[in-house]
Amino acid sequence: MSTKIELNNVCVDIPIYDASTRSLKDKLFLKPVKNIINLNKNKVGGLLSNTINNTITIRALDGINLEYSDGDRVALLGHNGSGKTTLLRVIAGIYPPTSGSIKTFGRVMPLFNMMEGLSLDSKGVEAIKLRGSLLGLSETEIKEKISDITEFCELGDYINLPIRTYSTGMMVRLMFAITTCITSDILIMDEFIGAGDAAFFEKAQVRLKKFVDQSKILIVATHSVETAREWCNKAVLLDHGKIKISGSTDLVINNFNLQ
Amino acid sequence: MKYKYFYKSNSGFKSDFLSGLNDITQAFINKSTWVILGISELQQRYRRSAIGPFWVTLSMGVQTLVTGVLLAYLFNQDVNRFLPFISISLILWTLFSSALNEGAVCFTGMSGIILQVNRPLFSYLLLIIWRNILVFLHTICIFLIAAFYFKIYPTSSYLLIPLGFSLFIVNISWMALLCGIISSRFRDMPPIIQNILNVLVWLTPIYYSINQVGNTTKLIINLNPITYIFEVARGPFLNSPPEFHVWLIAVLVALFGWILTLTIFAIFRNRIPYWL
Repeated sequence: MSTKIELNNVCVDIPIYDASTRSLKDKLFLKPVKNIINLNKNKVGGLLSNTINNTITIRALDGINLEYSDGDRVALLGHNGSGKTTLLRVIAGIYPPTSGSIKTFGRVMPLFNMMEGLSLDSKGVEAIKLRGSLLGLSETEIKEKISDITEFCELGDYINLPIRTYSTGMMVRLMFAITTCITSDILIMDEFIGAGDAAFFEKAQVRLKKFVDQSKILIVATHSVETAREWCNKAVLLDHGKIKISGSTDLVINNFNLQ
Repeated sequence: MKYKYFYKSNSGFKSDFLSGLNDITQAFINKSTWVILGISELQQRYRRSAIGPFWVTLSMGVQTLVTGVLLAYLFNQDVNRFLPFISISLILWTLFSSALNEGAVCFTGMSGIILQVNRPLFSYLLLIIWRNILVFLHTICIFLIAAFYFKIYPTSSYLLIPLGFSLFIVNISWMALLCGIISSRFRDMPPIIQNILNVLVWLTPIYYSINQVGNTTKLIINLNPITYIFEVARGPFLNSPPEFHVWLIAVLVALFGWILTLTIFAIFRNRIPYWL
């Protein structure tokens, strides 16, 4: 079985709670307060709707059908709130869709926020272990990678110091090295990962290219047409949670520019 | 293929239940997430302090000493026996209450991570349990010191400690998970849990032993399931192995609790990320 992603009629409704619907005491002892919200059509964001039990939901994704396999490099395009991040989360298995189904074959690696879960007090080596474990690596996999990472990011003895002592550039180097240390079948990115300062840039570009090339499927949400052109052979344009157009990068971008 | 992920919405309770169980097994298989995160969080708390995590030990020691001596005096009890009793009681109660309090925020507190990476949700409960067991291992030496000081030496009842302690942990786990699920939907839940625990500590024989109270109180205590959960963990330490019916009730509470919690986990697991 080869690497594959299959989304079938995926819809996602995200509930919005206010303080009173968040409270168990209110739920038990108070009458429900009618939510007053103007359900007009907005330029940005998904469609707002009132459901039966009076919670407001956003239809973040609406009837998404997608199928990707080995070799597909996909750019997700669309304005803010068009559902890009939600779709990435569905593919990553973080949001189970409200209706529809999803199948993925292959190891999925979501690379959203490279700093998440880190404390500034942890040492460089601990940061490697922590990020590695959050990316789903086993302890042996992490141990194998530590020397590769320290060597690549050229931090020397700094690797044994707390990361609060790092400059921004050093931090980026370390995070970049950790993120790109292991390849997976399906790469998911919210905006393309950055490579850091100039001296490091070329070395990083080579590693980044290798990293992306080794993964079988790449899905990246981006606002940048250049990124889409450079890295992707396919693209999807989302609008209000629906697929407006999908196909080759050029086809979609030409359409994107028309708007 | 080793890695695959299927999800079909509204595919019925049985399939939800099985995927809930799968979430739990996956969390145990990919143990690096919670093992490393738990150790690192504990290190974070005590970094830059000279005695590190033994701060917990120290503060627990002082608390035990003061409460133990004062209560022994108030209750007219023999300090030699009362201090070891109160120390193991307080250590286990701290484990119980902090696992529940932290369990209540096990999903909401980790929302940043949960929405960034695709780890099984059960990992975040295991993280809480694991971290509290680590703290327990730091504090249990207080009891050992107290026991040795007052010449209460280990007997064969110590052999029951692993069994009793595991049963205690199994019971704590379902309660913490239940608190975590409800709290991620209803944000006023954590303070409610704290209030319940504040009352519960007096309805469970923690600060006093069951022999000290009158018949009416005894009835209330005997109706409180926490009493039994507690006794299976505490009895073996104090060289008084619990009777059979205590074990039986603790096992039944664990069974019933896990069936209830697994059902709720299966039904609402898919909603949890949306509640964060």
